[in-house]
Amino acid sequence: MKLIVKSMGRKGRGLALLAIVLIVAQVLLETWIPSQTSEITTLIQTGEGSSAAISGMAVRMGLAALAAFLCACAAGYLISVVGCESTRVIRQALFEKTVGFSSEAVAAVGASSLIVRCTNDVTYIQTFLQDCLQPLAQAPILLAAVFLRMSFQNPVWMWLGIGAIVLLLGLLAYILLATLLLFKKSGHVRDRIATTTREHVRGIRVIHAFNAEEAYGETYERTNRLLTVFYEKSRKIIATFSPAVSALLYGLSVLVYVIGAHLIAGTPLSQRPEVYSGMVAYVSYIALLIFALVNIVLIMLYIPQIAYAGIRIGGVLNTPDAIMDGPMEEGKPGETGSIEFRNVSFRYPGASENAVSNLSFRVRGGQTVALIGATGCGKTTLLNLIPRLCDAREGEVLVDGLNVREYTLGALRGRIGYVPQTSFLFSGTIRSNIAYGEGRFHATLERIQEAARTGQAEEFIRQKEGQYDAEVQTGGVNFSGGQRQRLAISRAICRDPEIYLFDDSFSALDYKTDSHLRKALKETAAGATVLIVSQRISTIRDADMILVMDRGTIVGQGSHEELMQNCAVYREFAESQAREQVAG
Amino acid sequence: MKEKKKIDRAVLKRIAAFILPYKVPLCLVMLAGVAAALCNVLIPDRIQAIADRIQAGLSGEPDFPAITREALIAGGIVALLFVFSLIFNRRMEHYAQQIGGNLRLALNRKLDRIALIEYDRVSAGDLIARMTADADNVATAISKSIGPLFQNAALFVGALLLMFLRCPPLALCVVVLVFLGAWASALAARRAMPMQQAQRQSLERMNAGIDEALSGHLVIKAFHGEKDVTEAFRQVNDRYSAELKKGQFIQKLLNPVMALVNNLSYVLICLVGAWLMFREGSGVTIGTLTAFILFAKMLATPVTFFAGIMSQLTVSYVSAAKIVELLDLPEMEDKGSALPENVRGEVVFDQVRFGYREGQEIIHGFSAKVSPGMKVAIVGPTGAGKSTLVNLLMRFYEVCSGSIRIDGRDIREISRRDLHNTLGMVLQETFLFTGSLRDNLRCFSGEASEEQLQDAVRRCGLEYLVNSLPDGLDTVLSEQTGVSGGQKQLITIARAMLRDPPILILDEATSSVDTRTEMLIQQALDELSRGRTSFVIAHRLSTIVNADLIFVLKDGDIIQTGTHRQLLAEDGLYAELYASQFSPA
Repeated sequence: MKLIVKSMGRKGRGLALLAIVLIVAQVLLETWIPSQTSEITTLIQTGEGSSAAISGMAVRMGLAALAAFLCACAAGYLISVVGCESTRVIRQALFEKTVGFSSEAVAAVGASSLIVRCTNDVTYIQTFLQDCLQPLAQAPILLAAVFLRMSFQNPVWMWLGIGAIVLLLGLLAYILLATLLLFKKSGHVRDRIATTTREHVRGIRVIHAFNAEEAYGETYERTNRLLTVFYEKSRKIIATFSPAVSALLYGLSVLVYVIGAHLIAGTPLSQRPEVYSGMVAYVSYIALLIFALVNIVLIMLYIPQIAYAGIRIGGVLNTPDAIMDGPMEEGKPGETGSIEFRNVSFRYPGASENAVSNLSFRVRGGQTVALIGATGCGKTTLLNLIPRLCDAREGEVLVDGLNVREYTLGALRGRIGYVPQTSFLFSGTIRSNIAYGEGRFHATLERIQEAARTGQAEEFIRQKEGQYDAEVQTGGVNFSGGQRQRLAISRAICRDPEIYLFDDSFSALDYKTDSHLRKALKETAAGATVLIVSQRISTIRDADMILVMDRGTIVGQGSHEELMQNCAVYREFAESQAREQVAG
Repeated sequence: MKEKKKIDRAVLKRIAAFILPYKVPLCLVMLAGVAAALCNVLIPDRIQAIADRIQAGLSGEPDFPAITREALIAGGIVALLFVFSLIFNRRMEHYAQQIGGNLRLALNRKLDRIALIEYDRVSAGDLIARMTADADNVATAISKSIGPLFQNAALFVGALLLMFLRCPPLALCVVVLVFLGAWASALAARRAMPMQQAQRQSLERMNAGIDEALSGHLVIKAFHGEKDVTEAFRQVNDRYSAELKKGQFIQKLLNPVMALVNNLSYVLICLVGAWLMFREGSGVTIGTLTAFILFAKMLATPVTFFAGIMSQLTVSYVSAAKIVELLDLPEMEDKGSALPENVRGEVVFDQVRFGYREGQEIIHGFSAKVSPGMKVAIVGPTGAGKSTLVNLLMRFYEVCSGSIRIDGRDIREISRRDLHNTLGMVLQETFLFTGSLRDNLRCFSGEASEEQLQDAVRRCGLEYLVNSLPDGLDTVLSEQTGVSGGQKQLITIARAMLRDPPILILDEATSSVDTRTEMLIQQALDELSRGRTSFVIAHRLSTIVNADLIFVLKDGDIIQTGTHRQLLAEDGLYAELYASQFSPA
């Protein structure tokens, strides 16, 4: 709730207040109409009213109805403006926050859960604001107005009214509580079904290849059953409400008449008409109560859902920014392209051991450094620490002679061309993909073409319909693995960075393309620092420096020759490769 | 209604197929709804009867036994109303959710049968939306729009009937007003409909943007693309918001219009009623007026329902159409029969042609014969069609012409289950499911014994990973667990090892594994492939020098065939590829 109020802004809050004032006016007018009815009935009953007096009253009542209508329309308009505006603000804030998340934070919440929060959960809030804000504001005002207008000629009427309200509030509280508990207990089932489906779609080939259709289908069936039960339970709780409300209020009407009959029997003849019309008015007010309460029922449908959605959205918005901007734009003069690690350690949240520990090394600008090590030894983690995709737990990472935390993220990442292990393409065109992001330069078409040429992507781009304007579907599904990788490499080249980070980025390329690419890169990106993770001996061999990693630490650094002499782990690697060569 | 979208009867038919199994209980539930509606109509009348009794006794002694009798009848009807509407509401939800659940289940089963080529055309986010939000919309339509149809009709007819029986002139006034209101709100709903469609499209675009931003999160960060995506998102978000604002106001006119109708009918009832009362012999009493006020309210419920139902159903229909579209996607054929027990492993490619799209052929008449037990390597530059060949062999895609035969049987005549059991594959793209490492290794089939599992873990060099995970093999893997790309590949290899298939396909199986570990696995794989036919795709030519036969592919054609030594001697593309690998760049 706080979330919604906050998202409205000052103008929104003002408009909401105005809307509430209009609703109050509307309710007062609407409840005034039945009060006139009882006056008319009394007039007729006593035979005092002339048709002129009655039609005068009717005209006034008609005008009141019209005024109420206008108030309601104006309030409705204001509310839809406020509602749309605040969901827009929430959605934008949520998106910006999510995009700003560190990779760890995304992993901690889970990408599919974040998607559900940004889409479904916001939609729940939006529907709530759309459909419920007006009745929600209206119902209590209506209840209060009805109560004020009811003339409790007899204390019995008042107690009866209070009793009914208490009963209803109890029923409401039960429904709210039961639903909230249910949501807390099994609301996550919706996330689970989305995750299962997502995996099913993405892993469809594996499922087919391993004949796992039935087994995986069973997993889905179990979750689906839970979801169905969850939906059914939550809706059944709410489905109880409206029958209970109408039974209660109709029952009350019957009770009023029965008690009324006895009251009338006990009053003197002269006062009987007055008691009678009081009773009739009381019953018609009870009908109004039905109207107000049925509106509340409609809102009840949403409250647990939006409370749950609100909690989840709040959870995202209140996550502190893990990675903060520093003030600096430029590094130390004369240190361009240098990278230094000083005793750096990093641990993934929730893990019991460090992913990397005590990393220390120094790379001068323009050097090519190769990282080698067994699968899962922390090479990717090391690379990720440089553009601050994750932040070191201990120690310092320096780029251009300055701690990476001191740069603005834009300045830091603008210097770096990063090619991740799995190449991701955005929906759009080839051109938009290569020109992606904010680098140090504006990407012109010539620049894009040059990058594609260096990245060995030009040949296949030429064959595409529309060439650089050829469509790229989400995730790049309409390109082969090797093509995706070459586009991802071209994307890094296009920004002409000081520092290249290649995370095993040539794995889907054949050796020939690989060697062409590196040759071209050497020409266009002369002077840039290159950090490269690779399994290929030819790549590693002519690096200026080789870092050998094993289980999260650096166990050797130096040139190929040096390492052959004094690093056992490296020797093993080199020998395994040498054997391959001999075998050839 | 110029732009009225054509309702496709086929869509309705398909959805109806999910509802029909429940037709008997659903009819019973609807009957309960009608009963509840009838009670609802009778109640004001019965309450009025009490009021009339009291009024009759105003000038004398009230007839208490009669009043008690009327009160008991009214109370009984109220109780019946409660029971019937409770049954209706709860059972309706029950069946609607069952139907929704069955829909999701059918959609999920469909996922396994859709021809894989279709997956390249749809986004995961879109599929998920169809299986969750759209299925939910259909279930809601059943419980909230279709279910209460008869109930509301009964309420409408019942209230109308009673009103005309009581006092035709007053009834006429109310009916005219209520219909005016219904007409106005239907008009508003109709104007809102195209706006709703625009909104839905914008919403989909926006959600696709969110999906993409999260899938490509790493790249966005590394390339500092936050501003770009945020700006792009702001644009769709603003547009959606503007559309929503416009559409909503019109939609929201419904409530004030109905309230106005209600209030005006109040006034009209009083005015006309008073006028009628002054005329002797009309039989109109105050009781009649109060009853009519209740009737007018009661009539408003079904009229609002029917006025809103079109726009409600339009939304649900769009969802239904999307679901049916998914259900109707072309399926993979599976007409084949079982393979005999002992597969020898002879594989023949005969004039195979294939293209993902018509007119864009990728494989141009590939022919080759592989004898049982051979180790066959497929090499060639990126994009030569190597993985496509594997996909064809697995029947993930169907050949356009020509055929592939295993032991002389066309693979189209082998059941998919048997084909996949025969072919063990390690794919280029690794994939882990949320679940324990054990489940991921067994790939959900419980066939492998614990010993075999341990053996595969050891042979694939996964011991380090297993030991470092908090619960060993039972650790649940998900996005949060840090399993590296290379480790994922090892898991995938162990998976294939556990299946022990007659024919092995290794598509870049060790590309992300370091050379030391690769040597270990290679030994295991060599051991595994002894006596079996195996296909190996690898960029690292060292892994294939001992192959019995090497196909060199370029642009979908075999340009060289032979052993390593023969091909080196030929001084063609193979020799070139080989040289580039071992000469420093």
